[in-house]
Amino acid sequence: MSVFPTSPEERDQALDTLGRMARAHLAGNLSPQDEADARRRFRVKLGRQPMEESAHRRAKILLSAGAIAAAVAAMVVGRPFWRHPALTFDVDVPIVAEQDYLFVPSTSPSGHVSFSDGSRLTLSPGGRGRIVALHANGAEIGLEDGRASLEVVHRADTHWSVAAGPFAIQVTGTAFDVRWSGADEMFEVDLKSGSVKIRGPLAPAGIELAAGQRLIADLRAAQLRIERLEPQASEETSAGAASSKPNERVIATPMPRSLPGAALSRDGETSTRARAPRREAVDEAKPSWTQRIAAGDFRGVLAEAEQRGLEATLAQAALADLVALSDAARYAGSVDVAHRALMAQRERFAGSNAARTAAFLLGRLADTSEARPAGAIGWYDRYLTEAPNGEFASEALGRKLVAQQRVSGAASARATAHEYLRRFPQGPYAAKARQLTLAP
Amino acid sequence: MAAPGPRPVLVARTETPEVDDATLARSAAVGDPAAHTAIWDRYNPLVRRVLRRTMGPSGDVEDQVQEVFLRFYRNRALLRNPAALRSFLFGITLRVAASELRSRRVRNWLRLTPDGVLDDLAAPHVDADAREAVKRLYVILDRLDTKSRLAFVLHHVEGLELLDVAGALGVSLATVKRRLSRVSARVVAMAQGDRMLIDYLGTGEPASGEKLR
Repeated sequence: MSVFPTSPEERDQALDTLGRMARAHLAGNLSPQDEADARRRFRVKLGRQPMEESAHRRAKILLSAGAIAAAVAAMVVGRPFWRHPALTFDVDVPIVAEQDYLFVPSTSPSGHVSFSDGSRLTLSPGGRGRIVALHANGAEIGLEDGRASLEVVHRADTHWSVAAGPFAIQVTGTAFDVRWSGADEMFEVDLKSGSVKIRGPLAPAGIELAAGQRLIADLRAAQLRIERLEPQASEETSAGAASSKPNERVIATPMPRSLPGAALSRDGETSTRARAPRREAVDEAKPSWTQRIAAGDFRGVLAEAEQRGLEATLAQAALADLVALSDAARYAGSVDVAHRALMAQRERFAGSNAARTAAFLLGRLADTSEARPAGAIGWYDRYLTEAPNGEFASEALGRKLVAQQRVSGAASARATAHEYLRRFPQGPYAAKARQLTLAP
Repeated sequence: MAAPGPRPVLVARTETPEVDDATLARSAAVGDPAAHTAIWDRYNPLVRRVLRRTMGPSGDVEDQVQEVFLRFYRNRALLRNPAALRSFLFGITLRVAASELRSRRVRNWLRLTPDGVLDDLAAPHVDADAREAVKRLYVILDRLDTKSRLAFVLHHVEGLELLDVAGALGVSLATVKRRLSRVSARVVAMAQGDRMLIDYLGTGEPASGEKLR
């Protein structure tokens, strides 16, 4: 029969013992990989803070200003201030207008539609379209066939959209030309100023277009390209001319018809125009995948890889893009894509540091995401062979012994445990290794 | 029972940084991301350790670690004395821990998971009995109010002196003493009702103390 602690001193002593035990077991150490992941996540979140702060500030200011303005408007006008009337529009003579339907005969010059907010739509000869809806802050326009130019006057809450065939263009304040040919299944946008987001069959997640860029979607060839817009190009745009412009890059070939390093043009001939270095001129405006990963846009990178065609990306992408793709897939939980991107690094860039690291990451993937510890052991071994003193050597060996114990029991992990203790006596798996060496 | 060693103090530091805290804090105050990353590098082990010991062995604390440093970013203007960076971060850590403990309690009431806690993290290096004992200790701590729990953890687990505990919690020394006296008696009473913990209290059979459910 023992004595329970009764005095405050005895109590403190007893609790200190428990506390020391908790202290020893709750050190909170992370593996180097987890530590690196945590640091990366923090940097991504840190990068978003200024935007979130300013959005928060703006929201607060707008909320306060809005509340005051609403109160004043309600008092003075006697009705809520936000009930702006919808826009109205006028058409000039060449346009044949039937209610909301617009048509310009092919023998006439271009016709103009002037909206009450100052925005202006120009419909080229032969063009057909419709004003689908009018709102206080914009309109929805449907382009059924032909070419149109839209100049939107930008305001704080401007919201315009243009639907052309299966494509939709989201507009804030900008000027652009759009062309849709149902017969050719060709869609083109020349963006002169501002920015737009385009959604459609080859860009389900949406593609942002910057000023000075042209987007060409060829549904028959299942190809979507972005080119640098030549100064006079907007006046000459045609399907044939578009495909012969320089500075183009292929964004999406959902059906992998292209050969490695080449893009399939509309008429089926292979072309190498899509490759660097000219492509870089267009890419300047767009962040790299590595930058987008740093900004936390994992799903965006995955979506773009799929738009480009996953097979083609895996076969043709530069090493940095493959590494970014495998990271994006791992962070987004897309195990299959991560696996394929890591395998592509090993196959296409064998001997590189990235290929060695890929072996370790394939082990982790098998271990944690695919629940295949047996498969993981092989990858850890491969990493340890290729990079015996590599960045992840301690973790690979530690994870290997844990996987071995899970697959075949403690006895089979003992040799690895001894090796671990010899190489990393202070490592994060040292206690586990000691436990295994002492197990009966 | 082993004699207790000297308690570490809150201001103890084992590194000799190239840039001192005050300089880092001044750069951080103007929103320099490199300074915030350097602060992360320097203090994330401390923050993670304190959170882990406050929250216990169940569940992950990574979200809270991130929250501490993001909260520091958002409140950087409130750090009036740049040299007090460590204490400032420590204070944020405790507030984040307290907030998470309250949320956890609500989740527990709502039974968002079967027992209100997440699965254990893999901890392959610990002795199974001791690990179980630590889990049981935190089951007891889960029944304390947040303030008492923080005082207990800072003093008995983190090993801070009473004066440092008072400073960290922003209360007087007398308040900390009173709080700890009450909570210690309660924890011992509950621990005596747990066969697993008795061994670690240096006692024998369970007494008719407060029983664990």
